[in-house]
Amino acid sequence: MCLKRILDIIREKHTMNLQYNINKFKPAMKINKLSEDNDFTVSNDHLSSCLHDIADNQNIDAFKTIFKYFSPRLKSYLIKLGAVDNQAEEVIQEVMIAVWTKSASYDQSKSSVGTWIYTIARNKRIDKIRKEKRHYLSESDEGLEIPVESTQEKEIFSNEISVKLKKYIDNLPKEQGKLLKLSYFYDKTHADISEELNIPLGTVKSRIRLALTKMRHLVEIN
Amino acid sequence: MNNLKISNHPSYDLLFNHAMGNTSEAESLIISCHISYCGTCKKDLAKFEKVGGIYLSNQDKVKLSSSLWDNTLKEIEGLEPEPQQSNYTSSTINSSLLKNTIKIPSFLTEYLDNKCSTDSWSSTLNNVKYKNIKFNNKDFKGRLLEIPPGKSMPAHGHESYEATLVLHGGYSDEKGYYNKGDLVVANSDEVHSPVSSEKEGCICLVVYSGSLKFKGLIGSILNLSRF
Repeated sequence: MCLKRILDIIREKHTMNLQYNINKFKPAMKINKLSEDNDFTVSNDHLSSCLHDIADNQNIDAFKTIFKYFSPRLKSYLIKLGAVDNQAEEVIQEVMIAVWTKSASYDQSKSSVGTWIYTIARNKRIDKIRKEKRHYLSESDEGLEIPVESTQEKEIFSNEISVKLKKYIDNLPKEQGKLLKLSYFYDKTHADISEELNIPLGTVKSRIRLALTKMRHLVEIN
Repeated sequence: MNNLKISNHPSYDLLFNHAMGNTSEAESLIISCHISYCGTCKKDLAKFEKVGGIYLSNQDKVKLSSSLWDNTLKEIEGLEPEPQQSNYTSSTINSSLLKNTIKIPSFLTEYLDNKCSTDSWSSTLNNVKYKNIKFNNKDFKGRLLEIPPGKSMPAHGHESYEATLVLHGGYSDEKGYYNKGDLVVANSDEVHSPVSSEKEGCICLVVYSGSLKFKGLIGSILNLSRF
């Protein structure tokens, strides 16, 4: 069976249940990393000012900065979740159109630019690839809630946190780290993981919970 | 509205899965509805989304098609950036339980088929009103219920699971009392016998997978009447 047909079946089932072994995970397509990765130091303040510039002045250069920074990373993210090349780029395009039209709604006091774009990409991916509705509370839907003080959410993105997080995942006991990545970044259900790795469901759940508790602590102290 | 005492929340796993886009439509609907009442879970969700943002920012870069930038530019040509979204949308339903309209999370309105008054919902033999909700994924079903004050519901269990979110009033069962905003997830092996609030009755959203399995005679009748 050709890869395309397999992917079609996967999409029909609304699952990303690619056959693989945890030790040799293969995304749907080969990931060609770009060799030059010299813009990691672009600060959140800079990206944030680009969004303001888009909202206020429709500045194409600012838009290009956002596009160049996030699109190649979005592509990696989407491919890891099972998208093929052209699907990933369709989603990226939709994300970038949303960045262009909705930049005025970005609130620097509530999230980093990376988090804001992540939430857009998460939703667009579900719309486009899984073709299902999903619901997320948006800023325009606060009619019922108790408002969250923005000061509590005022957490400026820093490379320090990213490095800590990466280090943290890398330093988790091997099994925990793998399970966490499979569950949350490769879209696997606990049952899938249990079946494929032949680990009892209860063990999968408890290991992930343990990893999450540690991660929550890490996010909180930052 | 600001004094809601919410003591039942989605599990930590469920909320994180939700933040990562891994929950089903039915789960995401009821979780988001809960969050529209619950500041605590909203904060947790923001934290998890932050993890997602860090994850995205740490991705390796993958080469884009050379035409993607030009094509994107064409798409945005003529598109004006939208003004900042207003911070408030309000959705309501009318219910015989209350004179005033009842505010509901706006996500729900698209499932109501314009049946914004519970008068137009279907009715069971024992005066419970309901509106079924369909999801693309047939494994999940949803139902809005309006239960008159002080009514006992038949004891029932679930093949898979059931999650209930209280939108108005409340109910109690063997384990406790549930208020507006509470999200209660029942496991497959639990059988419970809910009773609606004596004072206010209860309007709630239920999503479930598998079939509800009612126990006893009344349950059987209700099953037949497609409660």
